[in-house]
Amino acid sequence: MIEPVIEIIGFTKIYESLTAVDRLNLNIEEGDVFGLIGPNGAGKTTTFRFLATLLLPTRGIARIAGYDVVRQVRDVRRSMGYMPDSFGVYYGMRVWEFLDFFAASYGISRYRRRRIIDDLLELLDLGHRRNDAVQALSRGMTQRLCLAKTLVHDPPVLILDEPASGLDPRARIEIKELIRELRSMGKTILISSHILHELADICTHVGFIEGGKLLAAGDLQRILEEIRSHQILEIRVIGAERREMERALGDNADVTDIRCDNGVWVVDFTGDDEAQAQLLASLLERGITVQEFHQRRVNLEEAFIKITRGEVT
Amino acid sequence: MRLRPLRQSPTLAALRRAPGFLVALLHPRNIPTAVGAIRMTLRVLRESARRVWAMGRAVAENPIVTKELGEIFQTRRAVILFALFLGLLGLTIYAAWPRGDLLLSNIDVVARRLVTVVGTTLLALICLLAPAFSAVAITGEKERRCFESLVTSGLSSKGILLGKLIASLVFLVMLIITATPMLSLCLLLGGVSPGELLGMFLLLLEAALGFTVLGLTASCIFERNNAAIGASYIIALPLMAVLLTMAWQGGLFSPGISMELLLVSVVITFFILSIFSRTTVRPRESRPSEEETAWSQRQTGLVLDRDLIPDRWIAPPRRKDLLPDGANPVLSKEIHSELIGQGTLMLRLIIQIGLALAVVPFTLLYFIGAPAWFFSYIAIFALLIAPTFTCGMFTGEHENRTFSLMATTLLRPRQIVMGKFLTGARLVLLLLGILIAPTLPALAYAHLSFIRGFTLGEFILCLVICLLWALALVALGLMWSLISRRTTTALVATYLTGGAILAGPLLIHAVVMSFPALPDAWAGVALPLSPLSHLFAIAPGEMSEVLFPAEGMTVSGGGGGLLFLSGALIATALALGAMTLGHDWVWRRWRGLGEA
Repeated sequence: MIEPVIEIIGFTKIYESLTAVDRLNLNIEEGDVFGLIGPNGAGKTTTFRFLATLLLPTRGIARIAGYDVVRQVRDVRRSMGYMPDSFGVYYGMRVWEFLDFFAASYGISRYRRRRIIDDLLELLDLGHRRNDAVQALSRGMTQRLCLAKTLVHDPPVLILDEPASGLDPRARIEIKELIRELRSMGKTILISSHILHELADICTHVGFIEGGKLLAAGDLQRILEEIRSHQILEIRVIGAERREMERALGDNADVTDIRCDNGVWVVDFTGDDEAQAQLLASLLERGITVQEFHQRRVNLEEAFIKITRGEVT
Repeated sequence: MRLRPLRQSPTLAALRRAPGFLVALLHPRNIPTAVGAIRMTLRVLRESARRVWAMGRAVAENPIVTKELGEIFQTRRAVILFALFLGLLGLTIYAAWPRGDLLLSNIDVVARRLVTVVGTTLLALICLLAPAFSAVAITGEKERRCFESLVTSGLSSKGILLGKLIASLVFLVMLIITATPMLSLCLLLGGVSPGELLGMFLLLLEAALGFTVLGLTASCIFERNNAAIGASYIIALPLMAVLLTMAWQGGLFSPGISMELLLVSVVITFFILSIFSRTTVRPRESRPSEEETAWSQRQTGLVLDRDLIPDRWIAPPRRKDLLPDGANPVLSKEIHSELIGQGTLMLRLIIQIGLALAVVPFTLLYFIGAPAWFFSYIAIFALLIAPTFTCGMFTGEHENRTFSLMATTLLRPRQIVMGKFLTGARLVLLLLGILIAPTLPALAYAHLSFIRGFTLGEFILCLVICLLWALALVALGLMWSLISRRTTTALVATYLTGGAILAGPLLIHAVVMSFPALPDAWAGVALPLSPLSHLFAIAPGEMSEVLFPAEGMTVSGGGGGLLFLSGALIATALALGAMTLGHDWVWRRWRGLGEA
């Protein structure tokens, strides 16, 4: 069995009367890009801060690269790069000084530091801003600089908490491309974001968290397949009356929910492809003119809504 | 209804024409005029009452007042402050309360002395607390990024400032009110009239108002909490020293002086409120461009030039290459940090004011044969500047949201603590050096020519006492910064503890010596803790026997000075050791609670 690079067992964090995270278990294997998805206050940042050695758990343990995050703090920090969701920069420093400070803080020799800073500035496309003051950088560039700082000691594990939050579309695309690049370099990445379709593009695995509980986790494609068993059909008809349409759809045993949005009937359907064909045939038999009949593609956003609603486990 | 100007009033014109006011009222022909005059007076009174009522309602309904009071009174800090305040006051009254034969003889003098002691203690506490509340009133909003929302709300600029002023004042007024029952006890002894007590209350209220306005002014001028607090205390502490000396002499607590000061303080308050409500309370650019900053700094002369000495020592030139292997990254980061490198108004202001005071009045004191005052000034100057540069070193990492970045590196607590301590120590010693250096040749000349009985060894000892006192203050400021969540808390705590160490022992001595009921042995117990008592014990100086008693020292002169040096060194080393060992514990505390 492959040893997971990130392993969380029964992590619970309680703040006085509030349970931020409740018995969370999670395994992430080497090379995975794991997206942790959940609404605000779900417990994502608490989990990330626990893994980043910044938070002590109420209960539970976690290991990163085999090191205990509570007891082997220095080994964990050496193996992991953490980018917080909200961070500042040291005013008065220039871009290269900022990276030099963090590289020196990880005990990297001056000879290696010089090369690392050059490489990172090139990788993050910050070479032209090398001598600029960090406070003069745009939000997107500051995010990239923080990502560069996270990579400065070449850790095998990256923990990125909302790396694209507050960025414009162009900067978000750049960050997404960077994460793809890091994935191709073999890094294991744990990432959270509110922009779900972006996660769908870069993640191999996802986990859904809400109210401090992990609702579902696993391979992204497998989860989407599961969701697909609860299909959504979109039907546009010409001239049919509302009552007639409701009767026609309601008579079908696979239809679980019907609603009409701007002339398009949206149907929750549990049947397979053959059952879909039968539904279409039954509509035509009743003399309803069907202009459009198709299955909506299930994406991560719908999966998120369905899972957090408790429709899928 | 709009009132007619008084000079155009027909009633008044008729009265002027009348042979005499009373005659005019009594004469049947003038009855309508008299009725008119009475009606006009009633109208004026009604209008005035309406305006006062409207103003009162505006203040009572000011959302700033509600918000601020909620913030102040719903925290543990308020309870602790009340408990400390009342505890200290109660202890003072208990210690100074006449006992035995004193209750029968000379009671008037003892009662008056008691009122003076209690009044001075209250005054000191009010003066110390007032800037702490108001200095962060506006800068706090800026740092929380709520300032623009506040200014663009329906509240007027004057309403915002007035709300902040009242909210800061209410807490202090409540402190004064809670002290009333204890203070009333003094009336039982006799010898003090209720009028005198009323005068004292009025003076305390004026002090609260004056020092609150001072803090608010600094808050309007500066952009950051620590700059506003530092500037407030730099002005407030010397002012407080003057006020306390006057109060101690007993000349301040009289109804006459209080009434005169009331008018002055109210006028100054309205003047300042009207100035700043027009100019300062407006949304600004969150951060001016570098060119704009450089221009304004050059215009005001408040800029550090990295290429020139002594600025070069304070703000070292930018690094051109990577850090050498084995160097402490925190030390380098702190030395080149914005506070030191940007040539802040604060830093230059401190240097300018400090130099002006050191070179002129205190060197003169040295020349007239009182060098102890010169060294005392250096010790006080160290107390004023050390917290400004050290109290934000740990809390700043939280406030600037850089804590997570640094905390997840492989930096060891020893590197972090020493990096920050050495930066603070370097800066404070440099500033003290700048303060002392211009006067050294003159001092040496005076020392050789005029001053007898003050050896070179003692001169150096006094200098080293001041420098080690400064180092201990740097460690103290860092400790408060490590255990506090906010820079403002750390600043106020450092000023209070540093001030207590500096002046507390002398005040205790003065209080004990003022009351024959207290055992004399208590007087000198705490004296060795204060550098001031050692400086006055070693160096010659025209000193008050009550305030600076050399004879109260258990070990006097050079021996006591050396003991103080050892104590300061040990205290600094212990503080650094405790910070290094406790650093992770404190972080774990934060880790347990989440980042501030």
